[in-house]
Amino acid sequence: MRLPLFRDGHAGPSLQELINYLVMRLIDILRISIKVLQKNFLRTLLTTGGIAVGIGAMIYLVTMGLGLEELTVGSISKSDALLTMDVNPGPNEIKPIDDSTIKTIKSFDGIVGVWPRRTLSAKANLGEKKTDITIIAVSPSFLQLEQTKLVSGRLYHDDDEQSMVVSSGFLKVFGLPTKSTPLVTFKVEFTGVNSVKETVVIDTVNNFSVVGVIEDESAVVGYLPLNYADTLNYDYDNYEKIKVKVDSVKELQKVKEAIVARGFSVVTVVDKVEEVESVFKWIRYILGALGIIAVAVASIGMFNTLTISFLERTKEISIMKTLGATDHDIWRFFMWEALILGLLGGIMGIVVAFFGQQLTMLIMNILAGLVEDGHVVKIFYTPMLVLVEFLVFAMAIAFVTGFYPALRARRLHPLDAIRNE
Amino acid sequence: MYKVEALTKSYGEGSAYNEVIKDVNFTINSGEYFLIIGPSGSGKSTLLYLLAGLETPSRGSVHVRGQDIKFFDQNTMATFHRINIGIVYQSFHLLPSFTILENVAFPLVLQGLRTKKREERAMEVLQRFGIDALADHLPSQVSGGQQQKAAIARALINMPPILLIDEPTGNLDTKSSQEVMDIIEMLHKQGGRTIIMVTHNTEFIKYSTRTIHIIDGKIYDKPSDIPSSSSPDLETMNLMEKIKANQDEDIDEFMINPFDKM
Repeated sequence: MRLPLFRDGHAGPSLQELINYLVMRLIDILRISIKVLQKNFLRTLLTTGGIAVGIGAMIYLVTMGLGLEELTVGSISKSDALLTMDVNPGPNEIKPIDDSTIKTIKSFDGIVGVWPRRTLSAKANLGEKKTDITIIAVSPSFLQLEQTKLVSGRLYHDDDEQSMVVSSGFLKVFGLPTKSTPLVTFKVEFTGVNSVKETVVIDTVNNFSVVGVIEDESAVVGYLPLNYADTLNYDYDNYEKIKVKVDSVKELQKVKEAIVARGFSVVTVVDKVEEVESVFKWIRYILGALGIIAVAVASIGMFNTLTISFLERTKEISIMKTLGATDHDIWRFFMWEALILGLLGGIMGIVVAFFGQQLTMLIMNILAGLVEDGHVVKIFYTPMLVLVEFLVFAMAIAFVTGFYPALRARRLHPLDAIRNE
Repeated sequence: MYKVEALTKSYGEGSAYNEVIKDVNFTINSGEYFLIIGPSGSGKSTLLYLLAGLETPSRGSVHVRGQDIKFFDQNTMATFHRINIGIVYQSFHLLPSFTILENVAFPLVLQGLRTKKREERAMEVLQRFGIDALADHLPSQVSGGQQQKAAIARALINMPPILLIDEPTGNLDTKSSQEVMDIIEMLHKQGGRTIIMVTHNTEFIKYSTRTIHIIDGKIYDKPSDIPSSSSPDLETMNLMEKIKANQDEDIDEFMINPFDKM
């Protein structure tokens, strides 16, 4: 049987034949590319190793950025905090918070509770010593929602009288130990401003006891129940701020909008989370940029390998062309070779990053073991999507670096290498 | 089948201008064993490459079955190489990282044939040439004669109607040369193929159906047509051939296959 000299006049292939033909050629081209990579095993290994280190470094740094963010945001947004918002008076305090405000907010759907806060000024006395103190009058729930941590003692109850929680800074002023609840009582003079702007004592309470201590060396603050503060000889109508808790995150935005619409300003934890996220986005970019340097170095190595591979194989390419390989076939051989290198480099990069993470955690564990009460936090967060993105990225690098050598191979004249002999 | 008209090939310009093929005209009929004989540097390989469409003529044309191959686009040329012609080189030009079987089957890869089918076909051809036992060897692991047989097998795998052969025995010892000559003779007689061969080996003249001579890029039908001013004259050439044939055994030691070193 002889094949026709030219195909003119012969029926073309059916669609199925054409598909079979294209699939077969793709498989064969892949096989040939793999064969070439196998033949130059050491060079393949070193090139993919270079890519792996670059991609691995990027994954390591980016997942560390994500991990740190997760850690910070996680601690902010834990438990009730996400469902809580702080309501402050409107801009320039033209819209003060009073009892009617609280009543209005309580009437909204999905409200779990509303806790106002007043700030008073006072002077505390212990024997001869005397100091100015800021008194914050809130219910214990307010402090719980703020995740206030006590170093000693307990929070007061709503109906406690003449009991307060103080900052360690307050105890320090009186020369008392700051890590334990003192067994002394203070005389507290609540002060206010009279009509001629003079500070005057409004109410005096002897025998104020301390039930708990908050660690805050820098502030001289005392907290006491709002119910008790209301019994004092004060005539303030307005609150400094209020805490509002809703029953679900879904309600949060609705309630926030309703309050803002009434002229108040509202801060939610979600806002803070977004703020932190934007900071970490930049950290991630910086860490990613460091990784890009590593990848750039690896890319140059890969470009070098593919160019050498082309120069070494000009004769092979020539022979293939004289046997009927089209320029496009040659281009595909080279591009697949590059893409396989990129894919292998990407997969190895994930492995490198994994070992890097494990090694870091191991070192942190050992260091934590040396410190009393040390505990290890997970500083890496590796979502699947990030890994997929990096695999695609590795192949994109391969495509870019492989393009020029493939183009040179494509343009090579069939006789360029053969003629020289 | 082939019609060559006013074919000229030159390289370089100005003072570097060099005309390798000079206004050549000839025709080759279907089924011919056509021999182009000439000494080294006479332009015979360039002429073969022009016939194969691997070189582009500077002037003139090469027609195959009425079509000027100069005007083939890239894909038509690739198809022409894949299906219509088989090329055999002096230096075999096997793919060094492919086994003998893979080398022979390679044109079928380009054709898109399934692995099983192309291996079967390649094995058939290898068996025909008695080198099927070497199927899994790399070219560097077999002798020059065996490599040339594999190269011929590769050129034949697509059963092309035209076989272009460039100095097939140039790198072979006497015994292998004879085997290769016999194979080509068999291909001509049994297959009825058009065989076009360029060589400086006058031994082939007895097998060919027609011989032309090429000296300094010009074609002569008979040795007597060659002007005496041309060098070297055919007599000297024949003499050199005979001397060379006697020394083949010794020379073979120095004929190193370029792939062997890789």
